Amino acid sequence: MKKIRILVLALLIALCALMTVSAEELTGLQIIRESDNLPQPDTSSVKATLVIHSKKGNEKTRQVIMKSKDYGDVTKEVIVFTAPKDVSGVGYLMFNYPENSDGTKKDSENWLFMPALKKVKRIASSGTEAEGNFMGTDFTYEDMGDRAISKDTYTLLGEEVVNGVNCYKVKCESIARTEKDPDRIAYIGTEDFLLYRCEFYDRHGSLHRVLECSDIEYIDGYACTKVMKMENVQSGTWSKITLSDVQYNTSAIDDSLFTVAALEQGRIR
Amino acid sequence: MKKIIVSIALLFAVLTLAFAADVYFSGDTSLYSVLSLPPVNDPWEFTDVSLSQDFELDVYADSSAFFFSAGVEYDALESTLDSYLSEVYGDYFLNSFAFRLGRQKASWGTAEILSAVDVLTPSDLSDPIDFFKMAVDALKISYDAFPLVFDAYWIPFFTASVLPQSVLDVYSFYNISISEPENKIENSEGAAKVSAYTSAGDFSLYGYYGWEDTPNSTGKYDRLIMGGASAAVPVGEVTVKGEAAWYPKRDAVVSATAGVEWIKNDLTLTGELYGQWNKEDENITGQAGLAASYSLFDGDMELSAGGILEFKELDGAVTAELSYSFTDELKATASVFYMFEGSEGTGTYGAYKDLDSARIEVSYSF
Repeated sequence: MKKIRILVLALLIALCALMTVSAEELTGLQIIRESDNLPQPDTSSVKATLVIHSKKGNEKTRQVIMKSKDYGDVTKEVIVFTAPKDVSGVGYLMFNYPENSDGTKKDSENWLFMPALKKVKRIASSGTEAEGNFMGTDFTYEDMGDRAISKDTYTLLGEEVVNGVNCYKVKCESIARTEKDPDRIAYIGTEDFLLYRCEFYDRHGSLHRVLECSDIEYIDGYACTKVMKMENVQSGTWSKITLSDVQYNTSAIDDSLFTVAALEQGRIR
Repeated sequence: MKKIIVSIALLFAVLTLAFAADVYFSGDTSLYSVLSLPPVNDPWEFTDVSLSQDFELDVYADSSAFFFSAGVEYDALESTLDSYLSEVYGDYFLNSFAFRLGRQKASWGTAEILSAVDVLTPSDLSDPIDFFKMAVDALKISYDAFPLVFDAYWIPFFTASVLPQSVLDVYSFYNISISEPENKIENSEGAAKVSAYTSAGDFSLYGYYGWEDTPNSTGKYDRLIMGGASAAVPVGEVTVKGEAAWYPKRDAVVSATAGVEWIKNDLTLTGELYGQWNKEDENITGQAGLAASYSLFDGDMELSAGGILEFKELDGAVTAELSYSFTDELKATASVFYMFEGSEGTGTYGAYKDLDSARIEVSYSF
């Protein structure tokens, strides 16, 4: 499945995919590969607002700056919280590695900066790749990262219209079955191969979470999904990520931003 | 003299503000109260009730930044008002170099509880339950050649740890005056650190030449020289951490810490062992520390607990804390601190047995 990468890149799948084959000729795996192979910007910089809606109707808001750069053999990403006060300045630096041809993948490298402690700490990759909630949202750390295509099997269930867009409906089933949500149904646009919706099913086969993607715009030729809403239908909570100030392939994102020193010095702005 | 560095940092602030791209102003209002355990007279007799207001200003321009943190505290029992300057510094970035000048805090090492190498900045020891780092007036120059990072510090003016009243009373009882090193260039402190952040782990080397943060028995501050190293290596689901330091002018010539940290979803567990080798009696003394924190209700509530055990007298301290965020701004925290005195009652923690307490804090952030 084309993973749900919150760090903008994830859901930003380029427009220029050429549809030379008809739906009948595509399998679930081919649709996922088409989606995965769409060009992405080498660098991105965005500001994001995270709204966390509780079951009781209370809302919390977090604001973050996210930057990433694809080096080919590694994608470097940095996230810094700017609001509210209790998490302001907290930063993550992540080096994520692509899947090898044999399906294996090198562990990501992760650092966390806590301004109150005045130091950066190294985190084992399981600390951020786990299925725990990302900063209290309904998104998980795994939602943020690359999920290897080889981890799932894919079945095309048909086509369905999502918010006026005709989509392929692809069932993605985990091979390991160890995840909290081992099965997903992804709704991928038949014209642009963008992800419009994803349903997450738990180990009992019950619908657990639903991701809705909207407000898709094209910036410098790349699609940008500006609003992503994840609803936990079992707990009644939902979280929404809204992107702003999106910049692709800008020269302002240089290598020096993706270092531990930059994280510690507060240079990510 | 210290005002010179602070003044330069403030001047830097004015210049940064003039060209600022982003300005952030924030603060915390806190009401803090402490109850003795067990209560001495009245079960609800507070030993400390304070209202504090902290302010922070962050300013960012293209290649520079400025940070200011200060506050005021009103002690409701003593009816006194105190102000403090936590940090004030300016940053300037030039290619791979970064310069930070002003009153700043810094932390060395990988240990979370019992560090062997964290000597760069002093601590406020006036409240032994809640030691916190103090800032020093310093110039820091960093060179980033990722994965290598070089940091150099020049600390022209000595800053001592704030001592607890009980210790000050002892000096006073024996009529010993405490005298800090003179503010002379030859009394400057210097420090350097080189770190490598690799796929295998993070590795650092440290060097420090300065002064002890606390006085000796004659009221003087001894020279402090330290050479050390630390590592943090991810192994599966845990991060293995280690620190070692050599102090040629201390009785405890060698100090070392080994520990592990495990983060899984909302749970963080840390365990550390600390030991030091004393040259005089060729003896090894040690401590063990444990800490755990767990967040629930989507991060609204956080439970944390920790403890330290000193092996020599089996004295130590335990703490437990529960905090709940009602909104992004409003948060309440309740905590309990308990010291156990061990066999002799004279160990690091046993000496503070009378300070067992429960604390309640309500804070509002903006």
